[in-house]
Amino acid sequence: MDRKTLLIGIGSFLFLLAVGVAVFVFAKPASFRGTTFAEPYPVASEIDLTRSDGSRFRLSELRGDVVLVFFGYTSCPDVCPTTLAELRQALLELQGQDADRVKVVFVTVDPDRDSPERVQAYVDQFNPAFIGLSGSKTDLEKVWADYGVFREIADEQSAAGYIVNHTARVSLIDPQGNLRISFGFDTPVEYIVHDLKLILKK
Amino acid sequence: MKKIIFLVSVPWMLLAACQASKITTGVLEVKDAWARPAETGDNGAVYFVIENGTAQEDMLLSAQADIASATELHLSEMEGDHVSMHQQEEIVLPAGEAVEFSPGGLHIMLVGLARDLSNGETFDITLVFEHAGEQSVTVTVKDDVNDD
Repeated sequence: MDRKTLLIGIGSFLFLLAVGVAVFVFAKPASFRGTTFAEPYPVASEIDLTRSDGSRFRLSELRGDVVLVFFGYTSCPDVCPTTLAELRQALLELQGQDADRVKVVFVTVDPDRDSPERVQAYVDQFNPAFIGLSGSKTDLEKVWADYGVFREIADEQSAAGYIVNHTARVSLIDPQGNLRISFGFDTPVEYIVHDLKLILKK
Repeated sequence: MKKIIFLVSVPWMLLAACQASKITTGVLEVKDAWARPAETGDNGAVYFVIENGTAQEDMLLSAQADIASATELHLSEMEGDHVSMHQQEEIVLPAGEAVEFSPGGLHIMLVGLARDLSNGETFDITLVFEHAGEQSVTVTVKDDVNDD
């Protein structure tokens, strides 16, 4: 191989490397890795639902904490447990006191089968600090609408009774009560940890 | 010029060759079967990889598990942010290829668990294939998350 060819080879390699680095850097200009809400940040709507002990849960009482909200149902075998396992892992990776400032709230999309007790028992399997919520269909429909949650009872037969198709996105609410970031189902846990650390620092 | 094209394209050709490589073990194997911990009465899911190393297309027709009141083949599909789950009549396993069952995708749904699934333990399920017949698979219960 002559020298010119070698140089061209090395040159083309370096060029491709530079393109790769540029794509990596410029594709993520934001410091957050989840999907961010633009300023002015939308205020997270009130969530006013029933806890397992019968008391009311109000999202506004968690000001000062970071809240992660996910909508799902307890008969869900795949996506809901996967998401809850990932959120548990994210909190474990935060370690220290910071994890206490992150509250995970799981709101049912299946009130006919999910009582507040059942939802709480379900999330307890992942982390007893997680908050499981249900309520009347009227109260829930308001929360689903406020958070843009799609949910429908699938007209498909299953031994599990029925299946609920639903939005599978985690919303992050900052300590001031604003919607800041959301994470799609395929988001790696390390991205969620990264964003939690950033928001807890502010 | 030809040399440049050659130099630049070698890595991509190697990459393509790796991706296109066929599994030629001559057998159909189910690998890395696992399920998340879950409680009695709940529904669960089993995940694994099926490597069809035979020269013939096969199909997964059904699954049976003593620990569940019913067992179904399901596919979770994301359409934008929405997840929907669809029961599958059968799952095609092309010759020489691996088909992955993973969270948010293909899975065996365990309906109504007869007992708790605790971290670290194992249980058996039977998979029924069109050509490979029945295969007993040992499933390990573990927490596993997408931590890439």
